[in-house]
Amino acid sequence: MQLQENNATTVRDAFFNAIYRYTFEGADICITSADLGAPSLDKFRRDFGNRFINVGIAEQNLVAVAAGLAMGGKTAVAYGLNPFPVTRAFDQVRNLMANLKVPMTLAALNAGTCSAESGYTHMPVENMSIMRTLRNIKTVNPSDVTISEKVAELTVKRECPVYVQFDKYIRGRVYEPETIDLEKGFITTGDGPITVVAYGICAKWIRDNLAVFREQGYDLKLIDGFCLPLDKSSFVEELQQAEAIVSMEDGVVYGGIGSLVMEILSDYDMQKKVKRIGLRFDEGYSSIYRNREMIFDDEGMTLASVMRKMEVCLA
Amino acid sequence: MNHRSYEELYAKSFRLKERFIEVFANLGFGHLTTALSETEILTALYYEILSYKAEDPDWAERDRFVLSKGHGAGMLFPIYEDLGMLRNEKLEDIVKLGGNNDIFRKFFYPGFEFYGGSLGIGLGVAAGLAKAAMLSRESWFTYCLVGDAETYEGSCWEAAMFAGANHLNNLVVIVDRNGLGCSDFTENMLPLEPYAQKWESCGFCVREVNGHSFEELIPALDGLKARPTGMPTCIIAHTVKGNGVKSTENRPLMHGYMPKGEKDAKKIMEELTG
Repeated sequence: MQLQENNATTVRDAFFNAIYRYTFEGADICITSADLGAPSLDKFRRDFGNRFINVGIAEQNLVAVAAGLAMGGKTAVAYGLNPFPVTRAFDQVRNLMANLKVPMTLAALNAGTCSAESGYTHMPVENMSIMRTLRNIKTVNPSDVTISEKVAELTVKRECPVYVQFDKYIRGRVYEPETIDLEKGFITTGDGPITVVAYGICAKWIRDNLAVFREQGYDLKLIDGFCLPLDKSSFVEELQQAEAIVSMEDGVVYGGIGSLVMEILSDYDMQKKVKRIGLRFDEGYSSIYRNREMIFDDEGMTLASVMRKMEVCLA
Repeated sequence: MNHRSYEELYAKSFRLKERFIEVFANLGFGHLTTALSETEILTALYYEILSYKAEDPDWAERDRFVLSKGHGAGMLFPIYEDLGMLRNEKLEDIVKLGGNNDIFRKFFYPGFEFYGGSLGIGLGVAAGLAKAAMLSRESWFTYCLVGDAETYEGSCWEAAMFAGANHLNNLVVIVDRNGLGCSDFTENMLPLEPYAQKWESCGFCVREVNGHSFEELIPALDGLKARPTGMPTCIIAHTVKGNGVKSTENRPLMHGYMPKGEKDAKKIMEELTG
């Protein structure tokens, strides 16, 4: 998989730019950070320094303090390095966000294997599966900056707990603001007999390669599931129209969006051909030092391999 | 607030214990020894220290109280009942199996600002509340009751360091220092002592009191709002788990004990009054 980089704004920076703008306009926003910064946070720290609250590398306290701030009337954003805000602080997320529904946003840098160079410890490849076990939380994977800006808007509204994870390699704007509906949770691009359900970097990759697939004879409809839970009836409607379904995710397939597809098919008594593409680590966690592209190659997440799976699906 | 005499507070705490035993023995589930360990602390808070309006529980300027040791929540129910805060609900109907305690899962009941139970979470939430008040220049305080064995959770010390570093002088942590976890005494497991120094090293102003003595609790808790220190306060309240009931007093493995039924309850009450 080739990952294009350019100078466009990252999904993380788009979120914090919007947060800065809302704060500048008067929103009472506090950002707690587990010792993590961002270029887009520098101006927030400069202009609203007392509202940038560094808790140190202490993710459990990151979430708890943010919850307390939110309960004390603030708009609270907790910011930390993935996977730790979810894995280390899962009990806080479970009790404060899922159960008590404290309206705060937990924002985490890194999604899937985007920081694979730092090793397995820094790959939040299970986070989506973990978060799927919880109710009441909107779980967002922006595949463009418009989605990030919508998350910032939702954060300021203080309507519900939000978890958002930012892939550091996703930049730029693709979607128009009026097309992004966090309640619906997904947006479609393209059309064809094969429906691909993906999020984050995989949604971006499919989207970027729709023409390539088409040239090879694969007409696809992409469902970019950027915000879970997806609106069930709209999603079911999409799946009903599909001839075959392929899910693709930069995360473990166990409990991920592919599992979500299978659950929906089961719950609604639908029979479709489905292939789940994602990380399986069938051979265990490799001791070979790898980056994301190498992991995707090893896990069969290449154009050729994905096309082969689509072929099987259509057969 | 009309101040009560210490005799009145002792009488009040006794009636709360009576009611707790009556209701929860009938239910057959609860944490008797924890309740008896903390009753005077909660009585001091709800009847002398906390600012709140029983008739207007979501009063914005109320003090916040976070009961981090959620297994101690049982004793709050008789207090709310006594204060007339159960609205039209009967206490027995709320705590019975199938009872709906949803009214406590809001953010505006003193004691249920935070729904405790998972140990080690409440202090961080309390620190966040205190920080919010400080940023907004609000005068309300945040009080947080933690168990001593709860502070084996590392997250407590993440929060304690945070509170000290942020000079949260509007945060008061009360430790129910009964010296017991579930299975053993704290000093037999991993010794917590020197305990006061641990809090001091995090930047807390520490006081140690007898947690069953209103003569010591009230002066330690009273007036903190008028006493600017620039530091959060930690009151280490030395207590006895199961206090007043000899058969349960200061005994390991009694953590989840609750008498079952009227006969058991009567026996416990005899010990308590004897």
